[in-house]
Amino acid sequence: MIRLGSMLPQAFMVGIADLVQMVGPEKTCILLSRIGKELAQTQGSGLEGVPEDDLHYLPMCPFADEIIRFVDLFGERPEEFKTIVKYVAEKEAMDKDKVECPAVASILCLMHNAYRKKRAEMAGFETLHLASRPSISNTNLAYNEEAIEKAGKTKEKIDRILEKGACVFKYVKKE
Amino acid sequence: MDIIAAEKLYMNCVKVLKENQHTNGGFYASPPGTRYPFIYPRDHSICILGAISAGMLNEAKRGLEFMLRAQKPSGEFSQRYDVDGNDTSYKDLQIDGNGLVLYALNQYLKATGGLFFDSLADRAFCLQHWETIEKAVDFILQNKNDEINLIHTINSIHEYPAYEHGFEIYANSTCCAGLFGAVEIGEALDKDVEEWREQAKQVRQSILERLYSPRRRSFIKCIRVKYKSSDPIGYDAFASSVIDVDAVEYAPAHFGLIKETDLRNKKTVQRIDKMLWDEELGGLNRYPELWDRNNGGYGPWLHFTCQLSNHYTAIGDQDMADKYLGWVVEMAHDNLLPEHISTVERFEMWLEDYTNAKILRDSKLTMIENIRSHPKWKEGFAYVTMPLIWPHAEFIRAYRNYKQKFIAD
Repeated sequence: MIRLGSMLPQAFMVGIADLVQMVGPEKTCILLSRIGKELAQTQGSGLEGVPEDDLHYLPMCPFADEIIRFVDLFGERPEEFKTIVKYVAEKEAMDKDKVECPAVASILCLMHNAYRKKRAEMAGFETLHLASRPSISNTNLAYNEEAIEKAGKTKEKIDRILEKGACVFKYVKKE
Repeated sequence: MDIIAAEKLYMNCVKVLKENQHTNGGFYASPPGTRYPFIYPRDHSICILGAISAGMLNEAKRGLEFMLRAQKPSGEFSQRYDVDGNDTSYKDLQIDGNGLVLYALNQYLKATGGLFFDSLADRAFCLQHWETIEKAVDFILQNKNDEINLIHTINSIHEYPAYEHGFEIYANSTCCAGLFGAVEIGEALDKDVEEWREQAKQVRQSILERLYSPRRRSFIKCIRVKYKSSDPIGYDAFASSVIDVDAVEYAPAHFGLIKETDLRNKKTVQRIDKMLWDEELGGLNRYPELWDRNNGGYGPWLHFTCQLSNHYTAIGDQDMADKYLGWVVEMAHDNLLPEHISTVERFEMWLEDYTNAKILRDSKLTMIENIRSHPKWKEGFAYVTMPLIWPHAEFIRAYRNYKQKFIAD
């Protein structure tokens, strides 16, 4: 009973995996983004992250521990999570507004970026999500190269920030 | 105490306060380009109180306007904001901010009225922000546990959940004082605030019963409880008490919940003085050295030393008030005050501990460089975060109290 109370984040991820099987990755992605936006509304306007020059980064992923716990419990990362990340990458490749897409290294990046983006939007900023690093390994880093270019940065610069951070983004004040 | 030096420091503190208010109204925690160029509701509220004390009511009003407009939809005031009022917090709930903002607002209302409260008090400002006040109160009450009648938080004044997660003395004192403040504001505006008054009384009673240890003859730091709604709290995963001495155990009297002369307060202050006065450096440490969480090395904090001086001033003990405030005056460098002071030896000990434990963050490297390059380093002192605005505001308040009590016009 006690352990179950602290397993709610794991339950959420089990639910996401099941949802991919039930309704497919497209609707699951929509749901994750919607959750992020809904949570953002409760917190109001805000700019998260540590400033570094004109960029911001998060020193650690707020979900890293839960994702690692999930993998510890259920073995390797479930196929459904990989399906989501692959679906997002393919969809974004065809998106004419790719610059506005999130750099998704794990399923929770979708929810997190929607949250961050909505809060920044309420503060009058656009968000460019430049890159993120998965919590489980340092391989399969996710980049949004169009966003990096629009931010006027190089991949090398972003990689240097990723060495000490989990994801990199840029806020642009709306005209 | 060297009164001429104290007077010079006071004048500069007022200047520092003015110079570190952004045009949008927010008081920086430390000046732009230094360690904390953000607006923290806790530091900011004390700056507002400092401004009120110095008679800078326009600055106080601008500060309040900034903060009230930055309230989150839930009614919470975040850990910190940028100069435009955008939430830039990176830490979890610190509910004392809600209490402090309400407390400062009521102090402002009283100061604008002075002896002619009925005709002069700035009711219009409070009325304009009444909805914000209601939401701030509601947020505090949402975090009240009805089994113990105390307010739950994750962080409090030290931003240190390991010792503050639960029902913590500073968070409860400020929130209780904030609730009473909201009641007074409501009364001035002819609002029905009876329910708030009852809630505030419950919290005060509980502070006196649950957060006071008769055998130790001292207030205690915290009843550690993980979840605000644990019922019964005895089964909560954290259920325990933090009985270590902490400078903020003086908070019930500091925020007017009990008299300075109340024996419970006098004994608490005696324990704080006995256990936290730094025998090597002078000045008041914030908590025991063994908590080992002291960026830049363990040592006395200027604003806690100022705070406790208020007790000695209030009870008319000039020797002790001199000891406390005089130390602050002596430690000022170019009439500026740091966050805290350590020794070179303690600094190196801290650096070793944090380096070995691999918990030294990149952001601390600039702080380390600044400590080592400060002129006081060569005298054997580590001046950490120089200047921090908060102690300047505390000195303004403490020194004015001192002058009013001990120095005739």
